[in-house]
Amino acid sequence: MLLLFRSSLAKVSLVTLGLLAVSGCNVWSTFHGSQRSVPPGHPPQVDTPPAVSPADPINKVPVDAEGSCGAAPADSFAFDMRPLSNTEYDLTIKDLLSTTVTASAAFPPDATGIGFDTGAAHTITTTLAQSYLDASQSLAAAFVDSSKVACADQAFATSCSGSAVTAFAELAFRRPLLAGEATRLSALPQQFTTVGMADKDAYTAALATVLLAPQFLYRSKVNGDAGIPHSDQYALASKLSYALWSTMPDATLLAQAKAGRLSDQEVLAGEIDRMVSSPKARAFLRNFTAQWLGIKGLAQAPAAGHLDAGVAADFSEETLDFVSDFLDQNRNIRDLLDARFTYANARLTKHYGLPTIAGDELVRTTVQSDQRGGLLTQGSFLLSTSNPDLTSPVKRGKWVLDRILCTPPPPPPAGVQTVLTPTTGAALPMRQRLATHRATTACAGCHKMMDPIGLALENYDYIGQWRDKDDYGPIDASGTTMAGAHFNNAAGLATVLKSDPAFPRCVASKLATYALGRVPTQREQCLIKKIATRTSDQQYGMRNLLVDLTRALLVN
Amino acid sequence: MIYGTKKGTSRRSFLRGVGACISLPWLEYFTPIAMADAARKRVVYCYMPNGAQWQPATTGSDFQLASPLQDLAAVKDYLTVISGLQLGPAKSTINGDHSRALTAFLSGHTPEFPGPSVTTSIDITLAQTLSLGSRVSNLCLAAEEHANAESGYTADYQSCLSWLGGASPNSRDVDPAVVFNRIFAAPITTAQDGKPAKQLDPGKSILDAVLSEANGLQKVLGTTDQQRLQEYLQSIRDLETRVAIAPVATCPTGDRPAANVSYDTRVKLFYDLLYHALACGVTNVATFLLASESTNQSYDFIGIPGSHHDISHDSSTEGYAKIAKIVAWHVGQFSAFCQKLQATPEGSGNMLDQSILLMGGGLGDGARHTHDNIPVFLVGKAGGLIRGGQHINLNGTPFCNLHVAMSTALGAPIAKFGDSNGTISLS
Repeated sequence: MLLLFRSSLAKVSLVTLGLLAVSGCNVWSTFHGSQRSVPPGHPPQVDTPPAVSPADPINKVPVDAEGSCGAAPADSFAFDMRPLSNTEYDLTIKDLLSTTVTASAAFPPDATGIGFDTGAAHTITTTLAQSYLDASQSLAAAFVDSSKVACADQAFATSCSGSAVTAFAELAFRRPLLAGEATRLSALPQQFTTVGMADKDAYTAALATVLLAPQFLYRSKVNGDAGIPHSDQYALASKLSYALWSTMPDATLLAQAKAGRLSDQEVLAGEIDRMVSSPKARAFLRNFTAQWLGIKGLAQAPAAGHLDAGVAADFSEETLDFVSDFLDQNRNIRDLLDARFTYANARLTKHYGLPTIAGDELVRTTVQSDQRGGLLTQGSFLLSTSNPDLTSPVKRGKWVLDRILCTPPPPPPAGVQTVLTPTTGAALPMRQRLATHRATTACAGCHKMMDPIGLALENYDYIGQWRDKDDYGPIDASGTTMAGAHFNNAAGLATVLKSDPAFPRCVASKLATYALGRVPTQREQCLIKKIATRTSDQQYGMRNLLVDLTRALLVN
Repeated sequence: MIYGTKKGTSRRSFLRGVGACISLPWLEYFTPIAMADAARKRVVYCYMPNGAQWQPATTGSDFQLASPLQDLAAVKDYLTVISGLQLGPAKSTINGDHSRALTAFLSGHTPEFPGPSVTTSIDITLAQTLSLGSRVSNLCLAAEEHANAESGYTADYQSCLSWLGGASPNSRDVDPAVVFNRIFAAPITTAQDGKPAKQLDPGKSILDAVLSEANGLQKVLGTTDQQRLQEYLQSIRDLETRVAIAPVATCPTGDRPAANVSYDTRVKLFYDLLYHALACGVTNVATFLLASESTNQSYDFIGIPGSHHDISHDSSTEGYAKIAKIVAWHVGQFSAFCQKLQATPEGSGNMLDQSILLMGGGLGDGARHTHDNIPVFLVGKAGGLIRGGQHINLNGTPFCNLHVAMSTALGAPIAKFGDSNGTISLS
């Protein structure tokens, strides 16, 4: 759970003091609590990418020029050693061995910790070490059997394989080798043959050793006096590449570190621009998005059984491609909620009732009506928050408060009857059923916030298809926020939400937490807030936001 | 252990033949015909989320099984139902009852907010003794991978039953195919002539070399990172000891379970794998989280569609009846698992004589999030130290007293655990 801003911090202390249960939602809500006027909505975005170059001048202005967030810590490269996440492992192996094997499919899943798999909470347990051992042996064997190995034609004579192992290790460790490492690793193939391994097996085992070494499995920073010139710059290169690419630094970045040029602010800024603009940043954004929006495992969603084969997977691809487009095109993050385009294939256009697109591949398509456009109209969200045979406006409302505004409501108080449909007697229309919430003191505080959001989305059924009416008659999707803003339907709700300053702040804080791999410090929270404000003021895009966050949080 | 084998149908045709009744193929192929090492004791903790109530009406040995426990009739001689236990560390005035229920269950402590941070769970402590000579220290299984975060707590508190301590949950296996590999495929590879392939080096040389690299790295790291590396070194050393333990050569192997199976099939597969891991002596300690706390799992396969958690908050008579049916289904699966151990000879008795298989949860009445009178029962006699065939009611006794009593029965006594204030007589 992410607790980043003043309002949310207040929640921590309230929770800690045990007051939240009696205080209800209003105390700490930024969405509806104290805000009394909502800025006029932005018109739906015109479907042309904004022409902003990666090296936007705005990014060159320091986020906190006046220093009001406090001074940076003395060790500006403060580096917390941590193991690769499963995704980072797979992508690093892909870059290192040019393989498409997804070794982590046989690993235990990452712990969740702070809400993202980049979190430093996970430990290399014996179970995980066993998985790594198995993977390193089979990956090394496949690599040696392929034609990519330096010694392939020399029958793995140990004189060749010793130097091949050290060359491999230098890549795998993402830095030059320490003198001791070079000595030990170059001797390994020879050493393994003395315990009875054939030359080829010994070479394979040496490569497997590199893949199981902590220098590969952890991102670490060796002390400055250990004998590696510019060791802090290699650490920075890894820090940046794992934050922005979820994988190891490329040759260009390592060359900059080797030359000691990453201490030059111009060079560093150029590298960050290059990395954020690279197609590799898509991997990062997809991994982030899947966790931010909670759309992993959609095929197991309660209502997924009603879908045609493949549609659940299409739903998540649609959302991942959609959000990635914001990075590619540097779109304004506020338009995530009502952009007039999406990504679809034949199955999705049929499912949504959009003009037909042929084929399985998802392609970008403009949407013309108010019925589709933005995250809240996409199947991934609509499906994941539904019950097996019924929509759940409450779950949809809670999802928006939690993931879009970073103000999650507490669960219902213990002992309260939360099932509103009487199992006997006449069932009521959804809107009337939910009215019970607001008539009950214990429930009203939170449901006055959640229910109007969910009811505005009632035109989407439990598998995300549009409907004008349900079993009880035409759907009334209108509502009023607690702050007094009216809306008529889902599109109107999106307009209200995108105007809420909590939304860009929430996106920025989730991105920052993911990239840092830990809960931001108080100073970092201050910087994130400034960055989010800058984003709002300047109407600039996802790429600029990411560059700002990187420069303010990862480098300094 | 020596297993008789018979060659037969392929797994796929087997699955086609039995339709919905899924089982692993080696069950049909391998019949245990002799067991050794009768002194070995083992323990399994199974956790049921969202609350359960199954207290029999009377205590003593002449008790009637409450309706959710009906399927335990076949192992009633080995059954000890314990009522009235309370999970004190899960209690609080703040939200997050599901998170604390699961995390406190085996750790005996209140997890920190927002976490992750809690003390080492009992299974990890017991594994140090019970699995000393086993190839796998412990299995940590979960039939559901994902969990939601509750009230600001980390989601790990709803998905992890076993904790190494501090910020580290134990690694969970959520895929039966991966567990299959962990138990069988890695140590035993079959050559084309049908004989077990000779493994030159099960990884020991690599692990030795890796330890040298880690020791080299240790010298050039900052203080905090050195501590971090210690965790890694500990795991690698533990692994090095265990890979050197020879696998039981006659331990059965079968085809890997299929990927992406339905929830009910996954639960059954995990129980089957667990049985074989115990029967083959791969490990003596396991935890099995039947679904994440607050799970929204649907039980449509027994006619109860809808979110389990939502149903648990339906405090109408119908709501409680649905929960009882869900609980009964799980008890039925657990009972089938117990019966396999009962049918497997060991020493002069069967595997249940040497085991304790615990089923329980950290919530009694799910609708009210109660941690008093949590649902707990044991199956097994732990080498005769548990009498079995009785219902004990211990009004208000800390659940951790049972951890203390079990540790003694298992031959790895712990005097105090969590909020324990004594022990429980199970004999």
